[in-house]
Amino acid sequence: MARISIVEDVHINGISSSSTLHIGDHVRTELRTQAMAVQREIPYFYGNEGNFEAFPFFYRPFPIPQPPEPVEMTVNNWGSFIRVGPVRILGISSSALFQIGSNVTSQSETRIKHFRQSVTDKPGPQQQTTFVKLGKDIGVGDFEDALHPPRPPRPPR
Amino acid sequence: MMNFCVENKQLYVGSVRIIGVASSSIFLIGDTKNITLSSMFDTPPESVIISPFVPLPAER
Repeated sequence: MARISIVEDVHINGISSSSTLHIGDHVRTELRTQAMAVQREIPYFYGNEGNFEAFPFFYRPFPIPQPPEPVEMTVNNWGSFIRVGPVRILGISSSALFQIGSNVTSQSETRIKHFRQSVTDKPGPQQQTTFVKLGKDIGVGDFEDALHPPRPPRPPR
Repeated sequence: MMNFCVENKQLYVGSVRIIGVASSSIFLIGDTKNITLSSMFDTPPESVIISPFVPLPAER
């Protein structure tokens, strides 16, 4: 049995982009956001730009971690309440959810692809300054050394 | 099978002050069973384009 939530006062400045303020109980919530963020040095934009289908980033499945073994959960609330004082929120945006009440299942997915487009060269080093290290066996990066640390040198006899 | 037992007593939170809840996040005052929140943010080095203006692929 879910508990009762008691909130003294709620003050929200803005709710935008299919966000929700939900007062009451819910069974299932699905939230999804897709966005392309484009920064241009010269702010010139065509009206029809932006196609999610052109980028496989927006189709890549999310790896959802699963519990290693099934969990049997029992909750005893002892007739308690959830009491909260005043709540003050500046903004809720991009299909976010603020709920006062109980929920059973919530699932949300966000995909944001960011572009930065410059026309002129930037000050600073001109060569490549970011690198991606590629491992050989496991994963990407410096995992190998952590898994197989180099042997300490033998003490001299 | 793992057994997970929760006993909830009285809960009182004085006040909450939040700047923003964004990008399919959840702020919940209540009980829940499952929450799955995933997020992808892609800003690779290749996303920095220094060249004459290239428009993004147009919508269909």
